[in-house]
Order: sequence, then structure tokens, then C-alpha cells
Amino acid sequence: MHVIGKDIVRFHAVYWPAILLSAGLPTPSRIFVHGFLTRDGRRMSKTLGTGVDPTALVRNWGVDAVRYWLLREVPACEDADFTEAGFARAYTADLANDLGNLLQRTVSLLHRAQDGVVPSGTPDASPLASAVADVPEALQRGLGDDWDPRRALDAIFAVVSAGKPTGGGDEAVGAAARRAGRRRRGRPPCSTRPCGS
Amino acid sequence: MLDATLWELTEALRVVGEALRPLLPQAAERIAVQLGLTPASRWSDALRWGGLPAGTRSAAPQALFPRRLT
Repeated sequence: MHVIGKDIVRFHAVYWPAILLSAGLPTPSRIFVHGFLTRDGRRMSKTLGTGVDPTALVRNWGVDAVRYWLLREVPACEDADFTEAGFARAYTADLANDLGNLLQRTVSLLHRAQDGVVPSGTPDASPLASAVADVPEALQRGLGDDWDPRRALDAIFAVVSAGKPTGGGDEAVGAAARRAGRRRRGRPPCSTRPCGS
Repeated sequence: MLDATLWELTEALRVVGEALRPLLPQAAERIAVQLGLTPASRWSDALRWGGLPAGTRSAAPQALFPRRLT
């Protein structure tokens, strides 16, 4: 696999294989051509200082938040524009509100209603189960043959969406959890600690 | 009803965490630790619905991606 930017296709898809062939060397079996990253709609330039410092981004937001933006918001073969606001929006909406909240809510419920222990369940057909069923193929294609990590993340976050509270259902879960909590002599809900503690 | 819902939500998060391992490895690990999971022997098996054993003991809830003031 030969990875190049879209502005140098001719050199790397025509001349370079020709040089390799004439030297009797193996040529790349695949060429992956990626687009450009811009910042606030402008080309990133070291001289103009219009780039994004990835180290600072990781320091501020954590490495997985940066990975997430690159993998979910940047189309594999097209251009993408980085803005602070867009980055913050993706972090807050997808990672903090959707995924983070589902985890925290579920684990808090487990502690309130079950002393933190997972109850037995039957793997029946459910919207969650069918969302999960799409994940392995999406991962295999998105991280393999198709190289489009967005597709893998779409499938994973479809599971998260399927688990998100829907008005009535969630209230039923909450009420049942409160009853269960009272049965357990009103044990107080677990305290939550900030990340990284 | 609550038991089934809780098991399903936890099971869905288990698979989400496993599926995130190659993409967001730190978050994936923190999800597994918070749910109290033991690593599956084969990653591809871990993605299958139904793998969550009853009796798994979860850790205290923690914010995975804390909300940020921007």
C-alpha cells in the first residue's frame, strides 16, 4: 500500500511505478490517495502559522478525542476542514453526550439498582442487538478492504444511539431503578469522579 | 423488565468498547475497566451479542469524556 496526497498522484501512480518496473523492483499493489486538511477553510502553512498543533490538541482534549475527530470527521479520500468549533462540537455531541453519558448512566443504574452487579439477561431480539449485529462487518470493511474508518464508527455509534434514552422508556427504567434502590434500604447513589482520577 | 434493560445496555456498551479497541484504544480500555470485564480470548468473538456474563461487577461510574467548557 502506497499512501500519498492527491496533489502528487501523477508522480506516484505513474512515474514511480515506472521507475520501479524498470529497476525490476516490485510495485505497490494499492495506492491510497488522501485529500487535504484545511483550517478554517484555509490551507495550513508553517510559514503563515495557520496550522493546527496536534500536540496541543492532544494535551487539551486527550489523544482519543483527536483520534476520533480524524477518523470520524475526515473522509478517507476527500478534503476536510478543521475548526475549533467543529472539533468541540464532535467531542461534546458524540463523545461526551452520547457515548460518555450512556456509559455513566448505565453504570450508575447498575450501582443504584443492582449494587453494581450485572443482572442476568436473555439475548433476545432488540434494537440494541440488531445494531450490534452490524458492527463486525462494518469494522472489517471500514478498517480493511474499503479503508473508511467513518463507516466503522457509524456502526458503533448506531449502537450508542439505540441505547440512548427515549422519553417514556427511560422514565420507566428510572422509576424501576428508584424502586429497586428503595428496596435496598435507600442506598445513596454512587458519587462520580472526574476523568483521570 | 429493569434487569433485562440493564443487561442489554451493559451488553451493548461491552460490544461498543470492544469495537472501539482499534480506533480509540484508551476509551475502549476505560469502558472495559468500568464495566468490570475480563478480556476475551479472541477479539472477533468479543463483538458478538450475548457475551456478557451475569454477575459481572462494575466499577464506580466515571466520566469517560468529561464535558468541557469551550
